[in-house]
Amino acid sequence: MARKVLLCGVLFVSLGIWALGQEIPRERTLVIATGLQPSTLDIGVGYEAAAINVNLVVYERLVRYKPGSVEVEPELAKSWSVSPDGKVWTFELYPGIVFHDGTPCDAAAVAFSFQRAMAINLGPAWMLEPIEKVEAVDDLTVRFTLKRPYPEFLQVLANIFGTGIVSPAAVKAHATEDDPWAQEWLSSHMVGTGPYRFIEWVKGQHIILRRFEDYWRGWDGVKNNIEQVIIRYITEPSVQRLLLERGDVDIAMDISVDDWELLKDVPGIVLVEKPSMHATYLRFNCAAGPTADVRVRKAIRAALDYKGMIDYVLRGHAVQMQGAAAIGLPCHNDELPLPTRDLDLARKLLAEAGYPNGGFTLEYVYESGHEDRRRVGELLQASLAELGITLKITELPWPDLWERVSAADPARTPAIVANGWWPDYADVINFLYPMYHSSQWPPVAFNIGFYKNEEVDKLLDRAQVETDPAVRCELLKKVQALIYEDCPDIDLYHLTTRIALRDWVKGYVYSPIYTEGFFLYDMWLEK
Amino acid sequence: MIPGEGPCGPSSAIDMWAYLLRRLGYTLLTLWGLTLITFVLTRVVPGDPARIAAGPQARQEQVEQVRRMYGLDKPLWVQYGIYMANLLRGDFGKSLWSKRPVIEDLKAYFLPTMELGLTAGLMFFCLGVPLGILSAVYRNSPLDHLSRLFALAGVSLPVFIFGLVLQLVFYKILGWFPAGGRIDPFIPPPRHLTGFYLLDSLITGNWRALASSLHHIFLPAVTLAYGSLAVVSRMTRASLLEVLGQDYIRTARAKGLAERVVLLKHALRNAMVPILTITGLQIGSLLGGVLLVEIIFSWPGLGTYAYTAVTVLDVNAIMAITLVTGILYTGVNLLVDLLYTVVDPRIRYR
Repeated sequence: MARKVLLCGVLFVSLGIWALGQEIPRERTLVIATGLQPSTLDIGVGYEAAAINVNLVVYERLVRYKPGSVEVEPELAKSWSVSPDGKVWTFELYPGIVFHDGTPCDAAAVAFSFQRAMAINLGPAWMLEPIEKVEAVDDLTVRFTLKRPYPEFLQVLANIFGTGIVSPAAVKAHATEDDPWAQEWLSSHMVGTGPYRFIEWVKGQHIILRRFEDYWRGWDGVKNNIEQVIIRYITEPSVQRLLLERGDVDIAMDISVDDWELLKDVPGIVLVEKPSMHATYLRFNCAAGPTADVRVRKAIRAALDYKGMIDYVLRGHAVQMQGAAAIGLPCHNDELPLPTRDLDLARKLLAEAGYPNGGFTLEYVYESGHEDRRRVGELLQASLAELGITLKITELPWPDLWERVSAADPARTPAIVANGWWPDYADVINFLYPMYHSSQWPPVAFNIGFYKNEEVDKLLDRAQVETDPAVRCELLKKVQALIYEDCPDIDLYHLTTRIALRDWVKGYVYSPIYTEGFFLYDMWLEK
Repeated sequence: MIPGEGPCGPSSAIDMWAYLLRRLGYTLLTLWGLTLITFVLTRVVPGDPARIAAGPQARQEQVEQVRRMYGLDKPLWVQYGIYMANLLRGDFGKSLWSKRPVIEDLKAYFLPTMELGLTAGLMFFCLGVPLGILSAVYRNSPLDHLSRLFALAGVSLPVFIFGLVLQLVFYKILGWFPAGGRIDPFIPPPRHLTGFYLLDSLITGNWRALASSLHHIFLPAVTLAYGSLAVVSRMTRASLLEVLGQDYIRTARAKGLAERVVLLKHALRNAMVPILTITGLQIGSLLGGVLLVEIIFSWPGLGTYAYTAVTVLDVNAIMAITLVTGILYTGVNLLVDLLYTVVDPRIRYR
């Protein structure tokens, strides 16, 4: 009997405490479900899409991409200027900016953040390589001196990795002899200047952010009523759908194609689908085997059924690429043709190359987990069979795939590799240089098909230092045209980004570069 | 396991200790072998861990910096020597993926897996054995048939389908239980003492966290326990029925002992050896199932961490996960072997 009384007592107390009000009510909390958890929160180290949502609101950069656009606009810097030789950039900061730990964010703090990322020299640091030094001129002026002109510098500064400004006080407080940049502490803490401050990261479960009351832009006159943000890590997409339907989460980031169709009929849910800048290619081995012949490469490009690929393989959740760089980026060449299926042309090109009836085998390699690439491989296999070419499909985990394509010997590289590319910043050179310049052959970088065209190299070298934007754009457009003509790859598609929201979430604007991010300061809840 | 029949005597305690020491020695040898094999495997599989850790666009010089930082530039045997020396000091090294000490990540991900596994283990043992007893006692009754059906479904139903069905019914339709997670994100987790939310909230008297943790662990634990519960209940039934047919049970009944005493004291104890064996095996198989359950219920455990570690070739994390899992397996095996002597004093070890 006593035991029963005790049990009832415990239950009663539990329910009582359960019923007590929670600190911040659900109505003023935005809950986001995503399957991607960052490996680290360190702004100087992390280099993965999973960190974009927290980086975008906890940290701020000197400049940022305007919501919904690839245009750069001020963030912490109210203005900037560049020297005529393009090597000295000076930024003027807004006054009165404070970090979440209460210390001021001045020019010295900005310089410190960059020095930290460059000293750590991991992940995103490659983008900062042209910086020779960064220094505070006065409290609100910071100056970058570059080793060479870096025309895309502003775009790089607006990117989400490595450029957020971290509190020097927090770094120094947690630095140790072995860890002078406090990497260990900052791998699971964040101290920036953004509208939301970091509260906790319960690994595998959630990250909690709270509104930063002393945010330098202030909260007066804004519609934002979101006091707390909970980012929940829900690995199974179907569970994200269930949670969204019941209103336990406000935004779901990973809705499967099947669930997407089902959610279209659910009242109270808004579906946002936009083409991303993520590009998927079939990269040819241009240095060995039958694909070393441009006519064979072009024949394969002419054999693929692009409409079938978009409509059936990808069920309409993609748009066909136009050239090697992402559609929508400044200096994208909009005049390039969209390849279509033309089997007669394919046969003619093959005959010219000395393979009138095909009669050879090619290997197609793709990374495990990319179902779209497997299905594209099958589509290509069927298309090439009509030309008498056998396609052997190989699935490899990322480390094995990387091993295959990073060999310096082209004979070891597969004939065709399905490969994806995310732009770090909004400039076509971020696509063109690493993938098509001959200095980027394996094992150095991503020209995995050993493509080489001296004219392309020359134009890219010029574009790297050309400070006149119009001239630079012409150079880059010409590069895209030359690459299309050489056909070192088939430019396949941009997958769409799909985000499902409850209709009470207002003010959301999709960002083509900060794809996984939310401009929370401009958002609010209407429940 | 080297069980042997023999009389209990003054030497049995000494035998027991000798056996225990020998077993511990074998266990250590097994674990050492495990470290060696895993170490070699992680180093010879294709892929460059330093390149992956440095980032996809890292320059060669950055890759080399990472290689030096993690000691991956040294000869294999030197790397192994350093690893083992650190391991003996309890240092699992740093994760190439998260850049944190692996022990920190293990604390974050392994303890939730343990909590779920132990809860499921407790659940299947505490429900499976009584269900088996009832089936044996009421042999061929409707209860026994129902229990058979229940067990058949338990062993035939794939874990992920069962989990999704539970989620659909108890979350989407009835709204009784949460769909996933370890605790309501609006409730702060209990103070970290053992790393088990149930225990920590109980020890600290954090009833709100306790209620939420119980609420959250229920569906994943049931999903995980169901298959094993079915196996244990059927094993209990079969084992008990065999013992109940023995002469000494007839003697006990003839002496006029109460049926409850005959059943629980005389029969069940003798039927426990196979039940313990199957329980040990089931705890081992739980470790496999728990990874699936973690994905379905967004349980923040070792499953996703292990998967990521393998895909990004996080060599230190892979080593640690393998080793900890190995310790758990061998530990459970040893425990089960020792329990034999507790339930059946006729068993002694040489």
